[in-house]
Amino acid sequence: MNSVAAVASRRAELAGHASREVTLIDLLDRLLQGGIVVQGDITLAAADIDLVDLSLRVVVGAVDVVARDLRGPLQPQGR
Amino acid sequence: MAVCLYAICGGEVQPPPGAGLHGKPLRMIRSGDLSAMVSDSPEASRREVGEAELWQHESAVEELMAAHDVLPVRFGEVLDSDAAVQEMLASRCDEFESALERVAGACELSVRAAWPQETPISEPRTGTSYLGARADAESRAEALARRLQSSLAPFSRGSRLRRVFQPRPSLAGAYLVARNMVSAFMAEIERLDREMSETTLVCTGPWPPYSFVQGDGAEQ
Repeated sequence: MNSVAAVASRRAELAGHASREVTLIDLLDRLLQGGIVVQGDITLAAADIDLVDLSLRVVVGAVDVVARDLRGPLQPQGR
Repeated sequence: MAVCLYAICGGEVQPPPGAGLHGKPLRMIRSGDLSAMVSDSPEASRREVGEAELWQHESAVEELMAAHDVLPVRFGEVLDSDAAVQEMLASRCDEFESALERVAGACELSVRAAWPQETPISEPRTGTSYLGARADAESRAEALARRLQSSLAPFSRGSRLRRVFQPRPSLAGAYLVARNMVSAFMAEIERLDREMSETTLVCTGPWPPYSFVQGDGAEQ
């Protein structure tokens, strides 16, 4: 809902879903690695998970899609 | 009660009408010339945290940013009480006030640059060809970084550019751009993207100035 609108407004050069995934990675970069830091290490009180876990969880999947779309036609991944 | 932090801004401001994490209403806590935007932290039941919650945080900060200069707070910061927030604001007021001056009237734009890669570095190869491919990628990245910096400097007040190697060699830049320069900046990105046929530029934003609140060197 809200997130879709925000993504749409940030759509940039790339066509299709790649722009959504790039936006998601940009969001992660900013919210987890930028911003005012109040406490050193954070475990999310509400979820009891580490921010690094969260980052991995959200970004897995997104990276592959971005890699594929920036590279053009899908190439064999060799794995 | 514990509170989630979203952003810090100057003066006495009204909280935006929207909600924070898990639909909790946003409110402001004031100390001196600074205000922090918070919501009550969800308690008891452990909540799943994922993409939706990241966007809730982002939306809350953006709502405040629509009318004020803001210092966005890293996702997931929770303090024990309103009093703890006031204490934090008071103890770091100099740092926050100079950061607010630095980002006044500006927002952040993200620029990613990637280029086609003949042979993926990750493929198993001999050591020599691996190093060769890596050196090519590095010199290419350096040339591109210089070009981006010189082209975008007139449109921005500050920048952070870093190299990314996974999933492929690329550059990730953050630019602090005056709000009234955003369309000029975007137009310059489009121009550069057309000019550099082999490089793909992707620009997202405007974002709250997450990459420019920490101060650099002189201000630390």
